Amino acid sequence: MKLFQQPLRHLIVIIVVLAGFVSNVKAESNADNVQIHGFLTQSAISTNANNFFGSSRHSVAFDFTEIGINTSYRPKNKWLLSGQLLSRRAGQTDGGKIRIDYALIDYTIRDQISSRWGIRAGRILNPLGFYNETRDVAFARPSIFLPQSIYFDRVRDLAISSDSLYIYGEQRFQHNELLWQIGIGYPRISNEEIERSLLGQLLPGQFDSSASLLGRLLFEIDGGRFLLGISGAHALLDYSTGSGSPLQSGRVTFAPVIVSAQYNGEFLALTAEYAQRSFTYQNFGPLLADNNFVGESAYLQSVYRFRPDWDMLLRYDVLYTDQSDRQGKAFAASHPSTAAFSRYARDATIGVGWQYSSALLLRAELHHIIGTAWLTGADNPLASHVEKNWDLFALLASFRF
Amino acid sequence: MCQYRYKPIGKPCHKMTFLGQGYRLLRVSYLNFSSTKKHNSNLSYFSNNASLSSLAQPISTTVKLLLLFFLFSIPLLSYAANKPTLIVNKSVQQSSISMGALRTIFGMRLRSWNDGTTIRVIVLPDNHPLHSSFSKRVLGMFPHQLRWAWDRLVYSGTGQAPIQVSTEEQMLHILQTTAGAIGYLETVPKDDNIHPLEIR
Repeated sequence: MKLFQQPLRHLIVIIVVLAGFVSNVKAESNADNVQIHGFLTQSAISTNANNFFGSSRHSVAFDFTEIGINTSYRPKNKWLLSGQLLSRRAGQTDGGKIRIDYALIDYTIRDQISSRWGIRAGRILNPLGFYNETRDVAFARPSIFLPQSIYFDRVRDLAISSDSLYIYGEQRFQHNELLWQIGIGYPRISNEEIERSLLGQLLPGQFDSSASLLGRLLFEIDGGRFLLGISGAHALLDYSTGSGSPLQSGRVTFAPVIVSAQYNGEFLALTAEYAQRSFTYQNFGPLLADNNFVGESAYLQSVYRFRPDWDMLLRYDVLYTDQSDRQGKAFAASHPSTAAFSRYARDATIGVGWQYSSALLLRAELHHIIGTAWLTGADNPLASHVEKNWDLFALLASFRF
Repeated sequence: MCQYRYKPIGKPCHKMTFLGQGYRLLRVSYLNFSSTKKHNSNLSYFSNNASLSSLAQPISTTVKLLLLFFLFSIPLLSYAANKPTLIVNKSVQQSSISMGALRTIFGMRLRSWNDGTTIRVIVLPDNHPLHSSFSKRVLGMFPHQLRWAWDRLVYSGTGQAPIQVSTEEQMLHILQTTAGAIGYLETVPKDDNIHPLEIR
């Protein structure tokens, strides 16, 4: 089994060497203006139908690996430079290629107790919902897989970061705080799965992004006991046709809006997010008429920390590709090769996590899923083999420093 | 031929999910728990599921163990005996601080003291009783909340994590020797290099 490819091996070696180096340096000095952190996560996935991140069907797939290393340097109080390298293997959709996830420079213009604001430029993680920026870090997410209705792993690269310029601020009150950021940038499009999800298939020609808007407003009440947020984007994705493509050059406008709410108790945390995702297709020619549809996503999640190092997760997550055709019947009628259940997904999840130490985390979770709206096409090339009802069991081990 | 992998034992072919099967096993073990009479009344159910019924014995033990586990996991909290005292290095001019500012500092979102000195936040590990006690009784937050706030900064490259030490002795040492340092102690020694900070 070719578990780790060449570039991935190099990254593992770098991480192991750095982990040793960092632990030595930390012991000797208090230098905190340079920090290095990293993580290595391996999951095992098994499904009773449909492949998810590898050949998981009636088998166990070890094709989901996340390795990252980041560094930050604060030369002066108001300046911060940071960057992260990431390698991700995820079945047929991601081969473990090392890429720069973010690399940015941040300048705080005003840094006072009552407020702070500044600017940030470079490749920056998109501030969408509660979890987008930390989606690849097992320690910072509540489950092995984030609710796929909002945090689609199949179009991760598009969702994760943009080459952009942001202005951000924090307004502080006695017990509450308002955090905002707004930016303009170019979302990353490099992955075939993105084209597959936008056009339904791989065609000659390619997608590029145009200047897009992103932003988030987050209100923290009582030191984060309650969080309320709204975030969104207005992304322009341009398709340039290639020879042999039945489509003309066109544009997809993708405009998601996410409303987020969270309660953080000592033992119980409740999280809910709701998203509307608007897609507008223009100028693709006669075979793909101009059209607009709005997708809908929502989940409700409860995390119960029954011991400081143990947690239990319950979640219900729904996705409708088109809110005017939730059961996909109209779509299936006009696209005979497509099953209605590929237009929605309902996922009930139960999971348990154990943080053995600050450096090691173990998780197990079970999903019962109806519908395949967020299933990856690359792992399931034959539509006739895709089933409506499926269960997914996954185990995860994550190490960090 | 059965095209599904997960079929209940004793039935020819029927689609069964993980969850469905789990529920069924739980139900069987529950029935096993109940009185003999109840058990007997369900005998017909078991009779065509002989192998499943034999499975139920170890399962019911597992269920018992699970129940015991949850029962005894009523969160056990180890508090430090005294309320921790907020301590700063002598270089910090102020003698008091607002709760809002304190939370912002421990949330790693305020960089400098009023006079421009760099703020250096020192913490003990998440599971250290003194850290837990400080988070809850002084900041009014939970260790997992602080950790998530730091993770969001560290893994998005928009901030840095606090300096983490493993013992109170190390905490004291850094507070004594580092300009702009802020941390907490359970017992405060007489020392000119540090002073407590009152919360307004």
